[in-house]
Amino acid sequence: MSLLRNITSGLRSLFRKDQVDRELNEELGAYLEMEAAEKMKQGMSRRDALRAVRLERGGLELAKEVVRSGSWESFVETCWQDVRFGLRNLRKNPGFTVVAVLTLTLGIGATSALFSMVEAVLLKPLPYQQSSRLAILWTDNVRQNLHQERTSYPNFEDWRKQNSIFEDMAFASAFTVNLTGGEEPERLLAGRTSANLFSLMGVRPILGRIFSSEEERHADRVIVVSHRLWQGSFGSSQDILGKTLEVDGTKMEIVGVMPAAFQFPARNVELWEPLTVFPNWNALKVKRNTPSGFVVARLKPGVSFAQAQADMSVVGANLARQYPDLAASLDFFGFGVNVMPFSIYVTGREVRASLWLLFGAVVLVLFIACTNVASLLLSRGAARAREFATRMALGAGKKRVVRQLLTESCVLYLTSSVFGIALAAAVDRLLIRLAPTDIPRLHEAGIDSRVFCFALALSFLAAFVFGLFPALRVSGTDPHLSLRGSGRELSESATVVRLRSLLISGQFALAVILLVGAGLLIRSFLRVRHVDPGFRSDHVITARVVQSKLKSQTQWRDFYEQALRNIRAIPGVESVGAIDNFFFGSFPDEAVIVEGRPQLPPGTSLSQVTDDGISPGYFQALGVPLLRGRFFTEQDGPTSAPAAIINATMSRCFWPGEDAVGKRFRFAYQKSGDPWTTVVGVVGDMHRDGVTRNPVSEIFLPLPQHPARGMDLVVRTSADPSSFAAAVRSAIWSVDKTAPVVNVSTLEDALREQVAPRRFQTLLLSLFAVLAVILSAIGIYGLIHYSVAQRTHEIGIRMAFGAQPLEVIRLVLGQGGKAALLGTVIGFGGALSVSRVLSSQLFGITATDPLTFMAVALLLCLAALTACYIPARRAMRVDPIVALRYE
Amino acid sequence: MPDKPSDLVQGTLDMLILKTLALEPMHGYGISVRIEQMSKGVFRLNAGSLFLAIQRLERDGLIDGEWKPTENNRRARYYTLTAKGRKRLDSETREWGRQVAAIGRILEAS
Repeated sequence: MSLLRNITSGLRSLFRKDQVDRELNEELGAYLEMEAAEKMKQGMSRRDALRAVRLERGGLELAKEVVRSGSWESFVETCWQDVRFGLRNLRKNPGFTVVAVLTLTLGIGATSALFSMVEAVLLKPLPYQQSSRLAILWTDNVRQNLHQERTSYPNFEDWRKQNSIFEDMAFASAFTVNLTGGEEPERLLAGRTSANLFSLMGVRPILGRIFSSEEERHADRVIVVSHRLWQGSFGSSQDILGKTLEVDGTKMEIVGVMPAAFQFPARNVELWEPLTVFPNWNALKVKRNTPSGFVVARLKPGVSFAQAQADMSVVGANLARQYPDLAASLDFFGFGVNVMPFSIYVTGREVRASLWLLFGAVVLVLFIACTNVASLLLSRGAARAREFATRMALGAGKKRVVRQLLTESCVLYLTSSVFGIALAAAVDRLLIRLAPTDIPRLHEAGIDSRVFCFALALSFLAAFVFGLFPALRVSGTDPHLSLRGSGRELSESATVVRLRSLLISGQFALAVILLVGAGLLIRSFLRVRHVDPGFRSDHVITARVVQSKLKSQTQWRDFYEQALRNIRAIPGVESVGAIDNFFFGSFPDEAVIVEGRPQLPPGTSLSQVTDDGISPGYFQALGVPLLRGRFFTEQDGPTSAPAAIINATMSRCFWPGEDAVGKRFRFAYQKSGDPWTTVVGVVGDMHRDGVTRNPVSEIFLPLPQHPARGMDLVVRTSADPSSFAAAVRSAIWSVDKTAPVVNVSTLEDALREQVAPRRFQTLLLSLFAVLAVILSAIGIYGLIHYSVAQRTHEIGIRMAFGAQPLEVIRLVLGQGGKAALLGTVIGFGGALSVSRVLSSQLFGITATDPLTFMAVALLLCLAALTACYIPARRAMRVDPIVALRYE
Repeated sequence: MPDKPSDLVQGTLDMLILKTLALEPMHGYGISVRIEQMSKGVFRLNAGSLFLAIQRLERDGLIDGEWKPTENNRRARYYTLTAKGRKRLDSETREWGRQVAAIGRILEAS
């Protein structure tokens, strides 16, 4: 109650100032008047009485001041006065204001924009209930160093039963399915899940219901569709429930619609069905060595991920003891379990690391901006020394002066933060366009209340931290000395130059760190761009085709043979080929046994190979060189002897120093009675999975012997490949109108997408480094400019005594140059330790790449020299007569 | 009577004002005169600290102020002790007594 009274009374004196003032006047006046009257009764004259009262009780004005100072509103009021004074001051010094506000706007804007990305992607909780307790469980294949493998259903069942640490566990897998019955066949991603997945994650359908465990058990043909499918194919119609969709030729009843934010097990899942509906479910249910699904689990309250990991490791070890034969077999993935927070799965470790790195970099830029402003404030403080000396002589305490200066600093920073937030909004939109498309939730980045609060809090913090130092400096000077005369000002400005030099050193150190980071990334990026991928990517268009599962293998093969023939017949097409997986095929998950050699011990890297089925024209279409032997031809038909082409890496690993052609091998999954496969050719290595990864051993098999449902087609054209998209589509559809054609793009676009994250990170870090250099240059320019202005007189005297222009330049540049040099050296030390953080993202160079370091040093020296040149030239042109007369 | 008025012991001014007002409502000057008389001139208040304390007490809801005419037909603000103020005065008096007794015991011990 008294708090309320305090506030209302305070507000009253703030907003009804005149009345409150009058009342105080009247009350105090009456008080003093009464006392005087008393004294007059004792015989004093009125004048003497009033004087006596003033002496004994203190004067009216003083008393008013004391009473006012006791209330909180007077604090607010003086702050408000300081704010207005600060604003007036900013307006009166447009040069200082523009430079400071611009600098801070850049710093705060960039930092806020990056923060909004960090917030949207990393900090905002996922759209699931208590998402911090959600975990994703992987099969940990220690033997092959693969830690995020999918899990077989029997293993999942055992995990679910044997753990004591999770509330519940759900199983989900993603498959591509064909959606038919509409105008054009569609190919989309479907989730097959256990019914408890939705309740475990805490998501509810926005329409209808999810399927029940009952329906899961009976394998009822019911599906839940995604928000996007609902909008796209059903126009957000409310009566979608009960309608049917034809999924892989089977009619499924729609029972619910999920919210847009629900994207599991993959980002583009468009529908979910009970996992029991899967045609092969009965086999899959019991196959322990077929990894097929993702496992999500919810931790019991209060359980940490470390505890969960420990518990699951025990469960895994028990299973390994229970199935010793399986655990020992060569092609089994093992019983290890890897527990990971769900949020990390959603964003991915690389994106996380990259975003935090960029955020750290932008904070460094902000630091540099703030140091620039602190440096400006120092000089301005020195220029205003007399003002503050006067204030202190009139009774302002040191605290009061510091408070005023801090308020002014806050005014400056907050003004800038308003502009900065506007800038951040613009930068955000730009960044979202530039960023690789696969960063989840990035498009949600924007200026919301949290970013706004962050920018304001950041500004206040920076205003205090970077304003306090100049404020203490100003308030610490002796008012007597400042008031007495100009002789003192010279030594004062020398101190300021010294302090500002320190700040310059700091700036250069930070700039070096940023530049080295950016330089290393740029060099890596250039290296990546110049790596020969092992194939010619120009003039190639690719498309993926997937056929219905209901057809036979022979039908698949015939379809592709006909489709390839049709495409080859398109005018302008030079060659065409197909592979069952173009980009993501080089995942080494097969083991082979070489004829005449004892079986390799498990875990040796020699046994890690990939296998892909290709059409005869594949290598020719991509321009992959044949090193030995021959390409596949029409004679490698379904009934002829099994043949294979291997890449150079495999030839080197498996038959070092030998000719691999003619050698024979067998896959580990084949039986010992199966015929050997003969190597008929060796081709050059291809970097299919991105050039930053070393090529793995690859085996290519003739398509007729290994028919596949889905294939990537590669078509080499004589003209702009993108103009062939329609022709390729219709050539395929002329064979089968129900075959969906997806991912039609030129090979170069597809490859560019591969390096998009690297390009984005490099671009952003370079941008920050450039900002850092510009700001540092402005900083050192400001320092030299100031120092020249302060020393015009001195320079004049020196020149009058015969100093040469070069000596003057040395004098002027001395301090700034030393500061920059010192900063650069310190920065190199810092960069050496920071660049180690980057080392995992470097390619083809080391973290201590001497060329980068040298280039950085050169660039900074150049920037510093350019920045110093203008003020130094002014110093050189000082006219001794004018300079001396000036005093 | 000592020549020079003494300073008040820290924090006791509020209590003295409350005590003064416990007898009857009074204006600022009245409070000041009453404290001076009762202390036989030991405590003399200056206007600033008196009204600062009054403002604080009023905001804490321990006293209420009201403009009224004085005997000499001036206007002055008269202050009344509130119920909360009376309670505070009781507790502070008790506490004061305890402290004085304790300090006395310490000082008398030899």
